[in-house]
Amino acid sequence: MRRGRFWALLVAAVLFAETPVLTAADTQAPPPPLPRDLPVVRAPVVARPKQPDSLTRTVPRDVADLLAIQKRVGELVKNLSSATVGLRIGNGAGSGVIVSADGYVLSAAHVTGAPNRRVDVFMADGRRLRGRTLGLNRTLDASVLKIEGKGPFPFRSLARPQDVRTGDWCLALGHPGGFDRRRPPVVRLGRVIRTSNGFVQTDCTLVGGDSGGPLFDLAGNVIGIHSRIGAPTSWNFHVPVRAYTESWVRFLDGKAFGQPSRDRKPVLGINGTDHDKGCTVTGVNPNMPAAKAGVKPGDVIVRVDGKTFQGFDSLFNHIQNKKPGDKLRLLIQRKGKPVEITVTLAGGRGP
Amino acid sequence: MSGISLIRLTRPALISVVLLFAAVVEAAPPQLPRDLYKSGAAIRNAFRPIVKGTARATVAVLVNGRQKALGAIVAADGWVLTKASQVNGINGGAITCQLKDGKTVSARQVGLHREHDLAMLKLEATGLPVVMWRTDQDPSVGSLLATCGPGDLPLAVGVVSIHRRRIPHFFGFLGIGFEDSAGGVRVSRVMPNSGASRVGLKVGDVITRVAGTTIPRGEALRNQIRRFRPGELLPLRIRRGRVEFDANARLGSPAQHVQNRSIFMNKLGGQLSFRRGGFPNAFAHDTVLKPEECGGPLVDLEGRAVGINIAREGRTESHAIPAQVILGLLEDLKSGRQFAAPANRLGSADPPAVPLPR
Repeated sequence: MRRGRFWALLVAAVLFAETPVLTAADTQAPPPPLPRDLPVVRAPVVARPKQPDSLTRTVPRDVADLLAIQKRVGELVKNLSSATVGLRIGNGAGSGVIVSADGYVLSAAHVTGAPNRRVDVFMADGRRLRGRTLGLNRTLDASVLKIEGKGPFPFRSLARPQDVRTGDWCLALGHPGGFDRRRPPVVRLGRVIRTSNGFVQTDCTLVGGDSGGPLFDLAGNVIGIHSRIGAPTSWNFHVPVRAYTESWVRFLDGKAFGQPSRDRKPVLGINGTDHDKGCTVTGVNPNMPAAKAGVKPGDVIVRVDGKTFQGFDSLFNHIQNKKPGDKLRLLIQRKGKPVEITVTLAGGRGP
Repeated sequence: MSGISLIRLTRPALISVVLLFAAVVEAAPPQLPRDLYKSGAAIRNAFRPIVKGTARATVAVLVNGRQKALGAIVAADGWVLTKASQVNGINGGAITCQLKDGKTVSARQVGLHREHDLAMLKLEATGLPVVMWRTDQDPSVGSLLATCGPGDLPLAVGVVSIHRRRIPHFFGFLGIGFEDSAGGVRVSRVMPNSGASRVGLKVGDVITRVAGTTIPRGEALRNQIRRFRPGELLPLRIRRGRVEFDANARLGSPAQHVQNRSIFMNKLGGQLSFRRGGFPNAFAHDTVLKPEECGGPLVDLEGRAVGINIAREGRTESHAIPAQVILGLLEDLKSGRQFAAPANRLGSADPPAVPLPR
């Protein structure tokens, strides 16, 4: 009987190790003091130093500003490139970025897939190293892995989340189409179009194989990890650094957490491009609201709910403020004739 | 659109397709105005002084009145360099060039370099402004580039993404399924609207030779086809029952027929050039162009032309032939030389079409 109670106590201590559990042992001898230099595990984050005005102006004022941007990019490219890696995990391929000298690598959750998988890590110079996946956050599509071996490895630190602003110039590196020994990481320039808790959007064009690759600011720090794209070339989405900094310990502990968002979002069901007077429909997804209401490829949408708008993105914004089930009045130019169509938005994640 | 899929960027085909339906946008946070995007009007405006000189030496190349490419004036007495496959000067329509002042001048194709996909046009004009080339070296990775159009602003801007290298070519696409069979390869499937169906191949036909090489197995057939590019003619010897005959199938582009994730993603973001690979020497940049915006010059921040845009390859890349390479070709192209395709493939003249037996 006594013995049984003792075991129960021990189990409680293990399960609730973080909450103080009073046992007989506590009353006898005080625990040894914690070592003062106990390392606090934090993501490698640095503040962005003050940048010259030429790099931060909303619109470059003159050619001198452009030259300053070019000079900075030129100085950075080599270092950014050597910290960017190609990844091969099972049959999949993606990219990543080394963020510490001892070989921690950021990537995307849909690239690493699960904790504790073997990874081939390809350095920019073609060297192949071994690695193992650690934790991942499926909601934000963030993951971390570790290169096995001593290092030191070339790395770039993370920017502070609050330093990432709309309008920042940025550089995307990665291995579009998968790692190719004859080709170093591919460099693209763009600007931050939008930031939110869940993502960073830029016009740095991305494609398959870039997943998990880094987005850098012009100070050379990581401000995002490539995640997903939409049809327009300005629809490139990156995991924000916040996803990594806030859960760094869980990643390092190899935890898999979060689920892909299941929220029902308003869905119209078209692909389109920008048009001077609104947007051109380039494709209609079958069985989606637009198709059911009779929107056709080639239509030019010129008004939404009676208002003019400019470009696909602004139509997108308009719809984001709606709910599934809401009605949308579209004024369409079809072969020169105006057509009015009312669409009931659907909700969901897919067709 | 909302309905639009946001696509996970893993490498093609290997991880199943994840379509996220605008799953990410919450309450539409403030957005950068379009003018301020990398190639937005306000940013391109900062490039205005840079493209000033070269824009005057840029022409629109029209075939039967429709713009198919841009071109670079390389000599004052009416020599224009452009992208050959867009213009198709040998058996295409009437070529005209529109100059910056709006004047339209008729042109004829003189020289052709198939591998670089460059064509030299001759205009009846003199005293034209000429492109000033940068000849010392290629622009380094990360250098800003502006693609000139005939207007005052560049069409689009970008940076050098990859230093110059050989760009692998895309395989031509015949459009059959096949299996090994006695004395050749038996056609087991013919895809509609493919080169194979247009040339009249039927299920059950046996392909015995391709381009003069005997085909013992499917692997040999695959290797032979891979030597040819989209748009080229593939000479086939076919056995149907007891009859044996020759046919030339025009190969299509994989993008027209194959549905895979890589091709799908690369087409997101606009049309791609039909001929977009197989260049012996080109650097890549991230400027977003349309196929009909290729063929013209692009300049560095000092306004010197660093190359000719030769292809829109995918969502992330456009290719340009470096100025040094171009300078080495100008005289030959002006003299009317027709550079043949590489020796391992067909000669410059397509083989004659052979009628099929009934």
